[in-house]
Amino acid sequence: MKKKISIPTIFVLLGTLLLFLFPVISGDLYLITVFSIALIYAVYAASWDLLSGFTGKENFGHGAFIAIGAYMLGLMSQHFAIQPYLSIPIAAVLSFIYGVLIGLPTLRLKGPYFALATLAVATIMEKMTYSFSDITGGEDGLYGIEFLTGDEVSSFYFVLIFAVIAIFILYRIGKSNFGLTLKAIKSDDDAAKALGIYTDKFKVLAFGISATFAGIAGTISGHYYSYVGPDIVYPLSLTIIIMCVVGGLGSIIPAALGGFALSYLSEMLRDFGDWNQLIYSGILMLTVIFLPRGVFNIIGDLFKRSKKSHGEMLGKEVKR
Amino acid sequence: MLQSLLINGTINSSIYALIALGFSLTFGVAGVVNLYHGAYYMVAAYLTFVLSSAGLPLWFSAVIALLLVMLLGGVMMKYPLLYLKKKGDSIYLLIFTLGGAYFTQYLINILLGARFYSIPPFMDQSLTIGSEVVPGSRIFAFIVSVITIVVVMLFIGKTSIGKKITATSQDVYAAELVGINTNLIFVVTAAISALLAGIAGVVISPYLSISPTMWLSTLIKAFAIVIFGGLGSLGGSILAAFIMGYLESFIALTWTSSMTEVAFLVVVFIFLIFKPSGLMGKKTI
Amino acid sequence: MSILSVQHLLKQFGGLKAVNEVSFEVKKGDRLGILGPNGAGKTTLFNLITGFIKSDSGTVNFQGESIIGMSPEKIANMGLVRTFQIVKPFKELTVFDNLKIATLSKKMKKEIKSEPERNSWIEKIAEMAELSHVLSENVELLPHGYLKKLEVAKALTANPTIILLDEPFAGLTYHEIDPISRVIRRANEENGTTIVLIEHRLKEFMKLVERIVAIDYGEKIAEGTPTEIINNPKVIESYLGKGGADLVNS
Repeated sequence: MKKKISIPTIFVLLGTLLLFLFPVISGDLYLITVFSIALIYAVYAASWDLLSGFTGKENFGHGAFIAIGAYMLGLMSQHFAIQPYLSIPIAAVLSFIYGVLIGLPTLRLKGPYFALATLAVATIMEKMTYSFSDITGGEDGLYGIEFLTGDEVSSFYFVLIFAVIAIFILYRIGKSNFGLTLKAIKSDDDAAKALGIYTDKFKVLAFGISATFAGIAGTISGHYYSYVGPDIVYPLSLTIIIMCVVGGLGSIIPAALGGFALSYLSEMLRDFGDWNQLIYSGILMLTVIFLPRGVFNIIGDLFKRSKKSHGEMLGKEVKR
Repeated sequence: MLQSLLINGTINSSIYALIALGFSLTFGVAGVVNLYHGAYYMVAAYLTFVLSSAGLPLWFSAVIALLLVMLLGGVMMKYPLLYLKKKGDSIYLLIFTLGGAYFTQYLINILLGARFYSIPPFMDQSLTIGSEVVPGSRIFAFIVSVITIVVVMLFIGKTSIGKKITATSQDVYAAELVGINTNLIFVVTAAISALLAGIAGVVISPYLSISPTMWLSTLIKAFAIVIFGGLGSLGGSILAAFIMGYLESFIALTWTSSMTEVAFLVVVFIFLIFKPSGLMGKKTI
Repeated sequence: MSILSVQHLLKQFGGLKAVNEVSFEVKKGDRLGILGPNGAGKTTLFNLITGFIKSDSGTVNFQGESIIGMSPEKIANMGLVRTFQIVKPFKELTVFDNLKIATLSKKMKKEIKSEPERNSWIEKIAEMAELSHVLSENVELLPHGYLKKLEVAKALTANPTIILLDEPFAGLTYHEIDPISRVIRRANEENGTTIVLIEHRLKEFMKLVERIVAIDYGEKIAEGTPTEIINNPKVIESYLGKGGADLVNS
């Protein structure tokens, strides 16, 4: 059964291709750096979507998972030079475990209760980070981390390849039966149970996967800046929610695009100083009211009308 | 030391109770988790500051500020919040109100800068309790908080609007069936909630500094207290406020003040996991 | 051979015994009906059997094994599936995907070896449930009658040994009931699926079931064939009140 490639997919693939070619076309190191960071945010957003967009449990403390990856790297780097090929697997394991640890006790919580619980965890971590500043570097953070590579361009490619792989994996997970089950659980947990779905296991696993990718991205961020600190970790909890809501929940790619776009936008607005954040939060409020489905979801919807329905693809007649 | 703990604990608890009461009211009656709640606290303080700096008498500035904040609360409920509430998914409401609070913060940052302000005290005389000299502004804050809480509880318990509010908090549909205009009740409740937070903001500004970020920790504490006290129970919120207030003073005295917020969060996390209905909560999640 | 054995099942809410020492047996291939007026405790009975509510005392044995205290998902994986009185479709998903969820349980993943096999199984059920023409529709667009059909179809897609249907005909018009009744009958006659059915739409119910357990105020008041049951004075009284039997006979 051959599926047509949709137009939005073509755009995404084209965009990715352009990113690959960008350093070749243009030597603008500033933009290359901006894009590198934007790609990391895209992974943050995609990882949030898999948990919160798919299960409907909105995690208000995603920064906690990023922190695990980032600070594990930062702390270890104080003792020896740790390379990405080592730090990334460690981050993956630690983050996964941490995700499961947070997912388990919060299973019964929903909506604002879940939001508060996850926010509480992240805020406690943040306060501890400041308190135990001897170890964590407090508000100054930790330095001396191994760079990804020697220069901006190869670092960019490292991040780009990572982001493409990570987002692709998350996308495939989302589209898989696992992702479908998550959505069913979101829609009606009891109905899923009545059909034999172990809903708790699915939710906890989603937590683990979400945390893993966020943690790895956090580690990569640490390598990229050669620095980790509370300022680039904890405030992200809210920022990432904004990126995903504006981008669109439930299909990974719109959220990732939201992360990329808003990160880029934020950088462009940097010159406006304080107005930057004002505009940011203003955009958020407007999007929630007028485009709640998310910018990129809505764009995707516009193209879906031309797509054949599943029934038609099976050769069955569809009564319209 | 114990004396200081009791005095400060009591004063702080009364303020927390006031703020938490407002949060609990909107949460319990309209089912709305209004993350903008802390911003009412901040906006009232800033408005009082701005008006009184412009030359208006202090008391007058405070009253105008509170009226404006009440209006803000009502309008926010009537338009964006009820609209989002109807849509279903609570996430949008949470994000909108939180975004709104940040928006207000950044707006204030641009208009007035990030420096700390304060306003002159409403009451100058200080009171000597035992060996503690308690500043008049704190005494005033305590008295106003307690009076406000009592007035609000009486209002809800005794007046006809109060009863309508209670009815709506128990069952919106049933309330509508008996002819209560629940949308109006939601708006009124929101205005009262904003007023309560605003009063708290106004009375603390003489002795705590006003800054654009002051709303966030207040919000988290209010949220934590309401969960701890139990959703649906105003009495629970007040009780929880006092427990947390004393706990906070205790920790500030025996450990460090930066850990007090952690204490709040740990308490609320434990309750969320084991007893989400809180101390005296009636509704379950 | 008893496939489902309920013995002295009891559930109390405060002072109220919602289910009061109910016992009955279901044999493989049976079509058993649970009859009773509103509030009799029928849905609570189902919730107890399927693990959604914890019982206070009593036993429930499925295929010889006690399932008391098991989670609903574990029970479902053993082959005991239930539907809900108020339909619970998976919103935002298509009809096809709704059915697909039933094939993603632990049990079904063992029975279905490949995606093509999964798709044809779903299509087969959809055809039996007369839902083939709406497979690609989003469930939120479907009228109530279709959602009731979907509710039954979802359960059947899980290839259950026994299916507990909670008022599958509620809120339907007569010509909407027939297709569902047909589907249930087919599942029973062609696949050998045991059926336990709660209903109080009597006409349809009577045609479908072979044996009935009548419940009122949480207690079993009668058991027998449809003819025996509708003539049973206690049953008549549970619907019409005291003296109801006389009313009917006069």
